[in-house]
Amino acid sequence: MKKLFEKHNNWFFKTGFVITVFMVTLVVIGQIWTPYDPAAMDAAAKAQGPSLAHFMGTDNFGRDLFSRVLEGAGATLIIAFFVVLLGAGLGTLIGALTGYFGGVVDEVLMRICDALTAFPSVLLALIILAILGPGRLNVIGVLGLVFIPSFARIVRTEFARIKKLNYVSLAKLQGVPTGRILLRHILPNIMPVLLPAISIGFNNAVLAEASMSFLGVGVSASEVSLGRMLSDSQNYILRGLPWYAIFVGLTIVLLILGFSLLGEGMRQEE
Amino acid sequence: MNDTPAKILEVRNVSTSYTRKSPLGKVKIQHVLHDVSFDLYEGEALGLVGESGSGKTTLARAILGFLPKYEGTIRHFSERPQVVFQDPYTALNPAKTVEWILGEPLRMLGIQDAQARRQKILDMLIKVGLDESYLSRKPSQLSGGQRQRISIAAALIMEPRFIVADEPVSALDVTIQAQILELLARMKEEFGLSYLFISHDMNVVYQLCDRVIVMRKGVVVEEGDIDQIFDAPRHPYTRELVEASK
Amino acid sequence: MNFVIKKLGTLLLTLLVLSFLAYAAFEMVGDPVNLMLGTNASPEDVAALRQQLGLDKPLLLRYFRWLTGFLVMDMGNSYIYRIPVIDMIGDKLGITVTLTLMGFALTLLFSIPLGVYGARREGSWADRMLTVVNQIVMAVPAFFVAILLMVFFGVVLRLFTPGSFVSFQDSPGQYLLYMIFPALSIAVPRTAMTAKMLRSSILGEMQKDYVRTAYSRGHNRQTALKGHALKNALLPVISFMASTMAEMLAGCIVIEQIFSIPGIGRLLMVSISNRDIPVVEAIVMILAVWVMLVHFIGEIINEVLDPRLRA
Repeated sequence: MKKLFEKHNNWFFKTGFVITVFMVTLVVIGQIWTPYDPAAMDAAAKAQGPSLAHFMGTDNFGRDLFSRVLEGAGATLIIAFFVVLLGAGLGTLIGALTGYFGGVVDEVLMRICDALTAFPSVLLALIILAILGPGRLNVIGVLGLVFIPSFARIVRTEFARIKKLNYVSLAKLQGVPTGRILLRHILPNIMPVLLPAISIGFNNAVLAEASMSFLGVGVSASEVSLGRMLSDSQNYILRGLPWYAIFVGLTIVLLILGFSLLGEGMRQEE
Repeated sequence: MNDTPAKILEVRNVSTSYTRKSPLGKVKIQHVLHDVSFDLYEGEALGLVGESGSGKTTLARAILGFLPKYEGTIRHFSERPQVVFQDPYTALNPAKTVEWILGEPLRMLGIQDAQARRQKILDMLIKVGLDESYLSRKPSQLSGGQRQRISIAAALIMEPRFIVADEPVSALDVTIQAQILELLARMKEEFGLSYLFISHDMNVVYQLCDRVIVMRKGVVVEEGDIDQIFDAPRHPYTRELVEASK
Repeated sequence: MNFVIKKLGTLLLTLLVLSFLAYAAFEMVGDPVNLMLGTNASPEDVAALRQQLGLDKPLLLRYFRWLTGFLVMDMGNSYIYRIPVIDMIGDKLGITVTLTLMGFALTLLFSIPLGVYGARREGSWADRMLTVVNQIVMAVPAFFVAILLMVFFGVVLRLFTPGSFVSFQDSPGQYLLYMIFPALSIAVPRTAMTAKMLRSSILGEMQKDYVRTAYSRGHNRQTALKGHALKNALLPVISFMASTMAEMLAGCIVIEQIFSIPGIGRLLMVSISNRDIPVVEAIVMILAVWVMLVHFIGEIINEVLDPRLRA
């Protein structure tokens, strides 16, 4: 961590770091403790705007919105985490193997990747999710899947570039097994490219989850998430109660802003 | 028979070419190496001289086993050779420390004990003229000459009998060049190494090598002892190279 | 013209593969017969309906029929409404395309001046402010921009009535007024991204030797920029604009939902929840054609501007 700070001593990285740490801390605390029980209804405090008692106001059932946003943000972050884990993990694996070994498999896979990355990932995810049906696990699986090509492409380019460098030839001469060359010799050197991509991936995952759940093909009706809440909050706007939507939206913006600044900061050249 | 030193490397009739299409659709065969043969003996430093495009680096790649396809045979009579590359900036893994870079070949030799590895690394660092303060440095914190010393250390630490040096000094300043050449010569004596020393610079070859092969456009044009080549070059191309270096 | 034909071939092949995958996937979703007749229909009725819908034929044959039908604008009938899919899609496609094009035009209108300005005044106070604002705006998703616009212009200022879409036929003026806000929603984040990209692309180009030469020959910075850098700086931006067009179409699905616009996105969502497969298939195919076509056009423009790419 300290090394990352020394390397990326810029405005983007620092601000992104502060925002991300703030949001993640808030969400982690929200998993353990919230000001109110997110599900507790209060008939005396229905659909209120922000107040001292309820900092973000309440919904139709008098439930505390701040507590619910914390819960929803937690769910969204967990989904985003697994989406990135799946997309970046498999993407890196595929990119590393195709980039290092090349050949026909590489050609074919990259053609498929090209076609898939041309297609907006949200649209692709939407269609597949529509077939599979909603649910948290489906969202993770499908978003993770549609995120693979973008990671695979980045990683492939880097592996194909680095495998030609002398230090890799040297490792081969020293008898280093191929697996170790991929993992210990090349992988650490693609981090300057992979880390920003992961950070942008988080950003896209939060955005995609929100869009999917907003459209009703994301998490199921019984589950929480920021996208789900955003969808609920729509009904309040027309009744002149915009707070719900604005707070949920702001939470999404802060999450995305944090990740995107981190990614941007890591890409800045010193 | 016992007087002749043992062979380390035998290269016989090695040829390689690639085909390319000219804009008019004609298929051209481009020879990179054409019927190259030579031997390298134990304790010998053999210079391989030629300008860029002469095929000398391709030959080195073939000897090191990096060339997937060629005709002819290349026989090694020692353990696998090690290499010192021209460009010290891509020869060292930028993400790793000197200790890790030098430790990797030792790990491959099965030395699992970190303390034992460190001792060997330290010994080697001192031999190449560095010290323990370099252990935790990364390549980006080293000068070109220091990097090349580490590259030599990395090659030597596997205790090979044969080293291919591909233009190991041409990227360095003249003063540093002399230091590295001196180091290579010293290591040769100390470890009884054989060198295949590739260079475009006759002068550099003269300082280190016993015997020289001159290559041009993939063909060996002249071969002989260093003094003979330098004093009485037979081939006009060799003469050109010698003249240019004076 | 060779490269155009080559690219067109790739385009058609990709579309063919994509369409088959999509078709096969949707056919696997489930039998529409149960959906249409209910679970206690007699086996005879089921068989009759299956035959009527052509479901008794093998998949490849059905796909072939569907594809040839698609090419002559015959996309089959809706399972739910029993009317031709083309009649359901017709007007709605127009609305969505209008929305996308408006969003695209707004993006161009704002991003190019902003990007060029930032590059010209690199490092100035205004440029730094723009960079910061850009970075923040990029993090605001289109759907949140939509909500903010709806709250501010719809609920607070009452410039339009959220939720009551006015069709072009009823009142062109009202229609445009209603559409401008959703178009702005999809344009805002993309404007920030494009401006940022154009700025860094121009600056990268200005670093190159040929611009420096022009600069040192006595051209001032502005002419150097206009004459040499802008054209080359546009190349990567054009590819990005192509993906913008594609992303905007996807973005429309959400935006139409928020503003209750009866476009193709809403129809897609309704048809998905109704399991109205022929409609879904047709829309997905139209979207795929759109996406591929936009990228194709982007590549062609790039290659006309930069013949070096023709390899």
